[in-house]
Amino acid sequence: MDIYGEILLDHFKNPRHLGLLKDGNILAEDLNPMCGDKVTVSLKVDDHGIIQNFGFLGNGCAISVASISLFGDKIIGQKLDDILQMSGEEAIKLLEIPISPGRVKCALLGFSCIKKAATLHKSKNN
Amino acid sequence: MNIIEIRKLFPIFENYPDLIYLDSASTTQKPQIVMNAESEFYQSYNANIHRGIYKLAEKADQIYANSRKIIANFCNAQENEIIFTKNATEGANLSAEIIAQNFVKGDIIVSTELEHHSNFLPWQEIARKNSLQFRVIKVKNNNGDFDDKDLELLKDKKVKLLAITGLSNVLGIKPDLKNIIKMAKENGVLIALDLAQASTNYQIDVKKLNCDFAFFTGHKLFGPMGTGWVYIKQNLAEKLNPYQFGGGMIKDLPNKWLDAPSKFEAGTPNVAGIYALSKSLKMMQEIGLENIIKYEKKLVKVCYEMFSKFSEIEIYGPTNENQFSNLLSFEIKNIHSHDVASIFAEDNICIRAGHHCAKPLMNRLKVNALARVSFSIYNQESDIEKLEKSIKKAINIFK
Repeated sequence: MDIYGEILLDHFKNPRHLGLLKDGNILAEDLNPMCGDKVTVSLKVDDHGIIQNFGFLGNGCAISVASISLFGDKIIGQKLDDILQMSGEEAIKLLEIPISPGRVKCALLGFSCIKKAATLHKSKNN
Repeated sequence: MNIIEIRKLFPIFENYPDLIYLDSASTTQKPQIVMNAESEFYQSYNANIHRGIYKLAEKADQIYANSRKIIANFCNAQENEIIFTKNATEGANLSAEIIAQNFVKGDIIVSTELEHHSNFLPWQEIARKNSLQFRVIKVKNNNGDFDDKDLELLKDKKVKLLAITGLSNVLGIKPDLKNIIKMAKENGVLIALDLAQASTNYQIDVKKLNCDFAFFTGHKLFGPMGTGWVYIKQNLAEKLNPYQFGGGMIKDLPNKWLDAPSKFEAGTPNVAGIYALSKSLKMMQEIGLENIIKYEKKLVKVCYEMFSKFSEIEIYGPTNENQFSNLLSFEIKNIHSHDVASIFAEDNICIRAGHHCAKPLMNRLKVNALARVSFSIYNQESDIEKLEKSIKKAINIFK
């Protein structure tokens, strides 16, 4: 299994959505218990619960950084509720890159942080 | 030491001939004799100990007692000073629970930044629960040396116990136990030693070390997972009360405890595992601990020299060959240790990467994660040659 393919390395070396949003309305932070890598995400969500924009900050391994970058591409335009419904397995599939079982936590660091942000937003608005 | 013959003792290398296992500091591979012993116990001696008045139970009792003798002998303790646990972590928790009953509010427990969480968190937590103070001796450099000013803390009359490692699982460094323990003892401070890593790196003599508690784990000594022991000095073990209650630990109701070690071993222990552990220690004895240590250090030296060829590699730990252990932690510039481990894994090379359950030290070293290789008797110099190729591959992928 060639984990470090072209797509992953490209997103690691040139991560998209790097930097927190100035006009974001949700902020969340999470860490990978395996290595202590931290990530912060910010989201801009409109009144209909649609993700308008996404940004992140954090240093980490190639898999975690590339995954966050790829997630950013995939979630813009999606409903926050749909993200909340999504399982880790579905999120991994969304990445379309091979992830070994030992690296699932790295790959899902960004996703779990986005989910955390979505949960926070929902509890605030309820 | 005949490496080809030694590798034959470990079936995993027959099942995976291409396996390059460089993670023995995490857990060693298991020899066939250990597996045979577990199976032998259940096939031929299985009965509960302490209770049966029939031949099979008597045999099980005898096996358990003999195993304790072998294990006590391994660390130069008396048999009644050996309490079986499921690992070193349980040993630390047991020690913390039973000794804290003798401390009063405001007393100080000291640990160090060099510790694995197993000799840090139990003490931090017991201090919190009992309104004790918890202080930490800082590490001042990548070599793992302690801050001299912090060591002076051991002269404070309120300090009751020092929890310290016999060998860092990250840096592979052995602290200056002789002088630190001497300083602590002059102030009547009790010593709790984590010997989980140390026990494969130097001959352990709990009497010479002058410790009061010492924790060991079986699975790093070629024994089964779920086996370990804690040494508790006899005079302390006699005085201290148990922390777990149940079968096999009471003389009479309501609270007349049996003598140590029974009062600290409530419930049915892992007799088969302990028996198998005694077999792995016997194997180590037969090969000779000195030979094992010498061989592992030689491999670390070869690996250190290989690492030193790469300007991209930073090694964490001793630079002096005399201080080498069986492990080396390192970082490859601009490559996260998890990525390093994944790339090695593609080449069947098993290493550990992460914070190594040593967050106080990682914070001090200002790193989130490190990669670590560790060696045992079944490793060969060719493993290091293959490792070198994988390092080049990793550097090439991330260039």
